[in-house]
Formats: sequence, structure tokens, C-alpha cells
Amino acid sequence: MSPICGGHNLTGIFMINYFFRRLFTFVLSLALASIVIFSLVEIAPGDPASFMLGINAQADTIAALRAELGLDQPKISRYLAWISGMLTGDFGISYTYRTNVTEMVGDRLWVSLPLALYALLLSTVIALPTGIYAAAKRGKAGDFTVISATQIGIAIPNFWFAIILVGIFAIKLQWFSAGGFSGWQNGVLNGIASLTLPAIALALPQAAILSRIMRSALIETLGEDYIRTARAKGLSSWQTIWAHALRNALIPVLTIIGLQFSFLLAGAIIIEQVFYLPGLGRLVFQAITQRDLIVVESVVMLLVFAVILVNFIVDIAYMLVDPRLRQDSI
Amino acid sequence: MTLLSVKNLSVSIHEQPIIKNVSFNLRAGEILALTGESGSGKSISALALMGLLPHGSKKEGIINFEGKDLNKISEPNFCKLRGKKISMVFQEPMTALNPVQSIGKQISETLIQHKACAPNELKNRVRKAMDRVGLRDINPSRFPHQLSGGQRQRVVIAMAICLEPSILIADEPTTALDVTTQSKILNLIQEFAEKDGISIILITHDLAIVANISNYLLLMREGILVDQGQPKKVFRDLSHPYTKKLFSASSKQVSFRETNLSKEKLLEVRAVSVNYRSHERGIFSKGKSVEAVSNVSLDIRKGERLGLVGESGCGKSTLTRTILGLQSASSGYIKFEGQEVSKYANSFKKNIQVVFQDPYGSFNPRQKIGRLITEPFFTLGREAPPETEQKIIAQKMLKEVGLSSESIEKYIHEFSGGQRQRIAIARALVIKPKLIIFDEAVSALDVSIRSQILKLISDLTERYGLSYLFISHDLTVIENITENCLVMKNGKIVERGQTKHILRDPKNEYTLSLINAAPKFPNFLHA
Repeated sequence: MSPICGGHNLTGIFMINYFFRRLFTFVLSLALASIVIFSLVEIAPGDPASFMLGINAQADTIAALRAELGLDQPKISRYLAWISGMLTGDFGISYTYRTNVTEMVGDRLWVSLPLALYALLLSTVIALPTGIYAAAKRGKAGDFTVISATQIGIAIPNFWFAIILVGIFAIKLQWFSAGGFSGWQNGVLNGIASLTLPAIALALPQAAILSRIMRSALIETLGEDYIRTARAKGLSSWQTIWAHALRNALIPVLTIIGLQFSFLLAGAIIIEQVFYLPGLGRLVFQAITQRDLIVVESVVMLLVFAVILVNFIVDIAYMLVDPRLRQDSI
Repeated sequence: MTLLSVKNLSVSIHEQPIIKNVSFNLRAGEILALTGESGSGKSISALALMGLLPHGSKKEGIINFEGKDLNKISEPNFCKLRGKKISMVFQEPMTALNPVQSIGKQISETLIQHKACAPNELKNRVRKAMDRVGLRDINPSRFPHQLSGGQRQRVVIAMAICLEPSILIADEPTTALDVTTQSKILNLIQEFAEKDGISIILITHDLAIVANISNYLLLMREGILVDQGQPKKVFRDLSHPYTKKLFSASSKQVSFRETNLSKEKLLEVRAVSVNYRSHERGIFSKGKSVEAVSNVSLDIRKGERLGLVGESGCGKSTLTRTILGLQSASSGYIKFEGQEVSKYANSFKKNIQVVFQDPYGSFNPRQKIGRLITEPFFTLGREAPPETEQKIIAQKMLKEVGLSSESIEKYIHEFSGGQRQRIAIARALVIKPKLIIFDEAVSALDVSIRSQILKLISDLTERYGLSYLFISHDLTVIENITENCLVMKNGKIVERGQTKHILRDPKNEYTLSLINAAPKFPNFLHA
């Protein structure tokens, strides 16, 4: 804690300082991550050129293809070429499909990103009210119901839940299609409809976890002295929750939401498989099995970028929620 | 005129009776002191009056206020009373305010909640309330973490009095504050009763405060009202044995035999300064340097008992940490028995032990007492006695501090605050150190337990020929158990000398203000 300084007018400077320090960490993490990703892919066994040409390929054909792909260049210059390409939006050419990686990733991103956001929205919309309700009714029947429901939500594997959803809503009721993605060109509503079941399947376990975090964070906050102070001012218990407890309890919840977004963006492979969605998860999976290293590198780097960006945003959000961070940067 | 009348109030929490059949009346403009040791049910009584008892509580009896029984009225109606007619100030100003809201917003909340004024008047009313509690120079857009403890307590008081309630309940409002701040806050509370006619229920464990400012006192013990009356009468008659016991503990002198000091220096602190880097720094610029301890020199001779007095933030704790080698000095040196103390030299550690303020927080709750007490043996390394012998020493030490030897099989939560501090002392003594540092060792204890612990410290140090440094914010504690003392302010020693002389005839203005601010029993009691 800083000593009591006369510095309310200094808050702005501290906020800018905090922002730039976080930004610096953000850029540094990206640089380190790119080195790690590049090195890992280098170390991984399997030569893309020989893999692409099959086991009967001649040594000189392989060498020619290696030269064409730029694999014969020194590692440093290949790393630099990769990075500078990324920065200008050129992710290179896929070894397997011989198409532009930027386009491939771009297409997939238009599925994965909306899916992740959709699932995150659902999970937050379900989790926050139930968590708040359970905390307000702690120890009573309502709390018990929420705890039991979240227990089940965490225990159910999401692919199994996805299959059940398909069974009921796609096959029996025929409200949604059982899989595939119709594309955004057929209308936004159509796109949303084909992402609904996967989003629900993804959101359920996340909502269960988030709801528990919300509940315990709020219960902890409700035990704080300033809650009692607010009650002594004449606020009712619900007013106290809205006006005082929620903003303080949101700090741990924000962290989890940040982590969940990263997970939803990159970790939806199984759900994409169940619903046959052309998302990023499936792209990476296929690229790994085909030694399409340039795609693996690019997608992983993109995901890392997303994760670090989300953490950066969460850090900034902390500062907005908590005035102590605006002054005492740690 | 009776404003509030409580009849046969009983509270139980999870079927456990906490207060039993308490009855009293509060008159308009009166300061009613509710006193007793910790755990006597004072705070629960206050929360019962506010209707803010913790979950799982049950209350019975009648609380009559303005013709209504507060035990019977509905929660929404109670909300209309809280903050408007009855308000409350709490003990811990550091945590009583919401850290993410500005103080102005938190004060205005009381006004908004009770629709006390038009929105455009809000700012004025907040300003007025803040001026009233002595926060004239403070901007309402500040956040709690930018204020000192005393200022935060004033903010809490501003929230409580801005609607001019009939009753203000103050639950140990000054216990967490320094003596000088304490006397200012108490004056403020007294003013509310005298000028504004607000009736005050003042909860405090400090009998000197009770004697000085209250019109009527209620003494509680284990949930029962044991004694009551006008303080003048109660403290003069001392008709109830428990009152007598508490009173003598608050005013009794601990016996202290003067010993001949040898010339030999045990600890030598020379021109020590400790700097901290402030957190307010840019990406590349280093923060401003803050001097927590500034050019401090002191000696402790063999067998000497030295006191160190100062308010919070004066650098006492930093100095202690530096003496223990946990913090490096920016300049100067510290020698123990002629050898320089540093982070890396460990040999001195077996000769210095510490007893801290919080007897619960300084023990690992998952380890048994036997293990906790024998822990200092680790510092001895190979010189440590075998484990069976360690156990015998631990049992012996527990007996020395007045606990049974079976205690070694128990855990720390099974003991009371005073017993825990006894265990902390046993732990400090177990490897027979030459110097013990008592860092606010009795500040968290009730008066009667405090005097027992002080007596124990005095007896044991005499028996073992120990030297100690006794750190406290409270001059009266130092008075009876140290020969010499130092007064510290803003990292500097402002006065030093024999304890008796300093207390009787302080040369420094700051020392004088500390002595004057400390609550003392008024003269009529000594007559």
C-alpha cells in the first residue's frame, strides 16, 4: 500500500502507468510464446516435405520441395520470416492444402470465435444469476438446489451432453440441425441456429463452474465488515448485494471468465467433432496428423494471442473494478 | 426520558446461549457504556439492537423503541430505522468501508437510502457531514485506501450521524486506533451526546474510557449483566467481586524488581536507517525512497529491560525486523554480542526470540503444540538435543508458563487468547535465548489477562536473567516492566531515558501528547 499521498489527481498517471506496464507484459509474453511455439514445432519429429511426398519419394524430390517450402533456410531467418509474415497478416502457405493459411484460419475463426462468445455468453447468463441467488440463500433449499445442479453440470462430460441434445432437439423435435455449419452467408439467424446446440453443450459445464465461483466469491464478500456497515445504513440484504458485494465479488469471477474464453476458443475440438463444425480445434487436430507445421504454428500462435489478449483485458478490467489498483501497481 | 428500553433480551446462536436476560434503559442524550471482557456478549447485544445478528441466531425479549418492539417489527420496517433512527459505528475502520467506492458515495448512500434530501442537495449534505466529523480537508472523491485509520473511522461516523439519529451505537470505535487518535474520536462522540442530544451506547473493554466519558455503565460477563450504575459509584464502591477484579487489573502495578545491570552490551544498534522504495513508480523510473527507520542507535545491556513506544507506522516493526536480520539496514550496523547481524549470519538467531501481537496468527493451526514449541530447536542444527529430551523441555516450559504438560498434544485453536500468548512465550524460552523481543505482545489481550501475562513475563525474565525489548504503543504497559525506554516517531527516536522519568517528566512534546492522550482513571476514584 502506498502511504496516504495527496494524490487523487495523480490517479490518472498511475492508471496510464498501470496500462503501459500491462501492455509491456502483453507484448513480452507474445514474443516469448512465439519462440516457444516455433522451437517446439522444430523439435517435433517428422519432416513435412517427406510426409507430403509419401514414403516412396526420391531424396532429390524431397530436397527440392524442402527448398520450395523454405525448410532449408537457417532457423533464425525462418523464425523471423514467420513472425514478420504474421505481423502483416500473411500466415504462409499450407504444406498440405497448398492454400493460404490466413484464409483457412480466417474461415475457421468465423466459426470458432462466435461459438466461443456464444457459449461464454450463455455460461455467464446462466451462472451469474444462479450463483448470486445461491449466495443470497446460502444454507437454504435454494442454495442446495443450485449446488446439486452445478455438481451434475460439472460431472457430465460435454460430448455426452451434446449427443443427448442432438437426440432431443435435432432428431426428436427437429428444432435444430444435428450438425454442420450452414455459413453466415445464409443469414445470421441461420448461423446462430447451427451454433446453438454446440454452444449449449460447451456452456453447461462452464456455467456450473462459474456459478460455484460466483457463489463462493459472493458469500466471502458478504462476510466482509463493509457489508455489515451497509446494512447498518438501512440497506436491505438484496440492496447490499447489488450495491456493495457484487462489484467486489466480480474480481475472482472475471479471472475465471477470462480463462474460460481461452478454453472455449481452443478447447472445443471434441464438440466441433460431435457437431461436425469446421472450427479451429478441428483444423489444428488435422494439421497435426498431417504434419502441416505451418498451420499448426499459425493457429497455436493465434490462440496464444487470444489467451494473452483476454488476460490483458481482464487485467484492465480489474483496474476499472478496483480503485486500489489504479494507484498501487504491484 | 427513556428512549430505548430492553427487557429480558436473550440471544442464542446455533442453540448456544450467548446473552441471557439482559435488561436496561437508555435515556435521551446519555452515554451508556457497555463493558466487559472479550466474549462477554457486548457486540452481540449491539447487533441484536440493530437487528443484524448473524445467521442461525435467535433472540427473545422486548426491545422497546418509540413505542415499537424491535424484536417484532418486520425486516423492511427495521431497514427504515437503521441509519436513520439507530445507527452504528464498528471497531475495525480498515475494513468497515467498501474498498471500491469513494467515501463520498458511501456517505451519500445513507442519505439516498432514507430519501433525506433532493439529489442536488446531496453534495452539500455529504460535505456538511464530513465537516462535522473533522474531515474538512478531505475530498469526498477519495477512496478508503487513501485515508488513515482515524480518517476512515471518521467517515464511518459521518455515515452514522448524517441523518442525526436518536441512538448511535459505537462498538469499540477506538480499539484499533492510536492513543492520540483515540482521544480525538472519543471527544467527537462525546460532543454528539452533549451538543446534538444523540444517545450513545458505547461498547468498550477499557474501563478508563468508561470512567471518563459515560453517564451509566453496564458490565457484562459471559452474557449476563453483572454490575451496573453510575461509573463514579460503581468504581468507588467496587461492590461486585468481578468489577473489583477487572478494576484492579486495569490499575494494578506489576511488581518489578530492579536488577543490577552489567556493563556488557548484548545488542548494539548503531545509526541504523532503513529505506523502502515506494510503490508509486513508473515503468522505468524507480519509486521515491521512504525512510522507515532513520538513524536509530540503541544498546541493550545484559539483563536490561528496554521499552520502545510509538504509534502505528512509526517504524517500530521495521526496526524489529532489522534487528532480527529479516530486513537489511540501508546504513549503520547491528551487533549482537560483538558480532554483526545480517541476513546471512545465522548464529545470532538462537539467542534472540520474538513474541508477536497476534497469538493465533503466529502459530500454524495444523500442528500440535509440542511441535510448535520445539520448533526453535531447528535453529540450533546439530547442537539441538534429541527429540525425547526436546519433548521433556517443552513440557517443562508449558508448566513454567502455567499450562498443563498434556497441552503438547493439543492444537492452537483449543486455547484462549491469553493461553496462546503463554504458549508463544514458552516457544520463545525453549532454547534459552539471551534476548526476547515482545512486539505488542499484550495489545490484543483483555485487561485481566494482560496483567497476568505481564506478571509472567516479569517473573520468567527475572528467573532466567533475560534481557528484553518490549515494543508497545501503550505507555502504561511499558511503565511497570522496563527500566529504560525509547519513544519513536516517524522513524526517529525522539526521547530516551529511564522509564520512570520519562513518564513523570517528559521532555519531548510528542511524548507528552502520548501520555496525555492515554485514557486514565479520573482523580475522583483515587481519592
